[in-house]
Amino acid sequence: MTPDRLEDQPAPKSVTIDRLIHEPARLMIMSALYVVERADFLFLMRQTDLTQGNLSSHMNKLEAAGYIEVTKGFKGKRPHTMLRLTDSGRAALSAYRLQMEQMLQDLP
Amino acid sequence: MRHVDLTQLERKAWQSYHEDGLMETAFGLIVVTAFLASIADQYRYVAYVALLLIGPLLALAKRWITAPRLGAVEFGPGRKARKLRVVLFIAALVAATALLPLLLGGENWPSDHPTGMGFILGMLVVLAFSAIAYWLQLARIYLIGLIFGIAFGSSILLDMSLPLLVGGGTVLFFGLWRLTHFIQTNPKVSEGASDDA
Repeated sequence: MTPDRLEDQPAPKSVTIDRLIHEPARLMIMSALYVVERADFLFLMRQTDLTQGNLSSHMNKLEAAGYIEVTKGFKGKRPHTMLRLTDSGRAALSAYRLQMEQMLQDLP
Repeated sequence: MRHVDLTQLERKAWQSYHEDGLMETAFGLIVVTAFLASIADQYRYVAYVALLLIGPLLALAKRWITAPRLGAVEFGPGRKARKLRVVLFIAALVAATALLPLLLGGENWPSDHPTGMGFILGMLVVLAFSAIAYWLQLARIYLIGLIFGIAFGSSILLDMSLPLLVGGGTVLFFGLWRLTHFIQTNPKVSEGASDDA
């Protein structure tokens, strides 16, 4: 039986999408970091409109994957976190963009 | 389909960082201080010192006002190159302006030809601000350049410094209005505070 809806159809085996980046919030974080050298937690919160808890959770996943580098410190008595895209994160986002473009081009 | 336009994203991040009104406030203060320097005969040096302090004050204001509200960011090499182009262009323009009277026919040329000098100075100011607006991709600076070009040009044409006060005051008022709006719409947020706060 053929699935009626497009999203029910299995992805072609030749296309492998990085699911870690594919998630919208993480894609926003990766993209925001891709276009700057580095930024702090507050700047990313403002740019992505994510809440602190949400951003923190996605930040931990991206850090665990080695896509971002997180440097925790203090500004006065307040915690201050700087984030930077690693080389592997930069390469992963570039590859993701290429894969998505390729996949969309291949649509009938 | 999700399309990520990274160029637009970078530009949005850059422009959002300059929505605080501080740049307009600094430009307005520079021209108002230039006006004060032109009328304060004995205390002119005070105005010159104030003029030198505006740059460092702008940097401090970015740190105290903008960073606690928008966060800290270091933009990429493309932005740094654009800033460098602005600095080099303004330096070349200042050097050209200093040499201009000699090229046009001697030191007395500006005082002998106020109409020509007023027009040239006005155009140079517009050119300088257009370069800043173009390379820094901040469209409102074109308008500021036009206001200052008219102010500087007419102050020479009319042989009075009042246009500087009007032009500088207008931009200063606009900058302070933007700054107030920025502070109201972007409250300070501390990292680690509750999401509900």
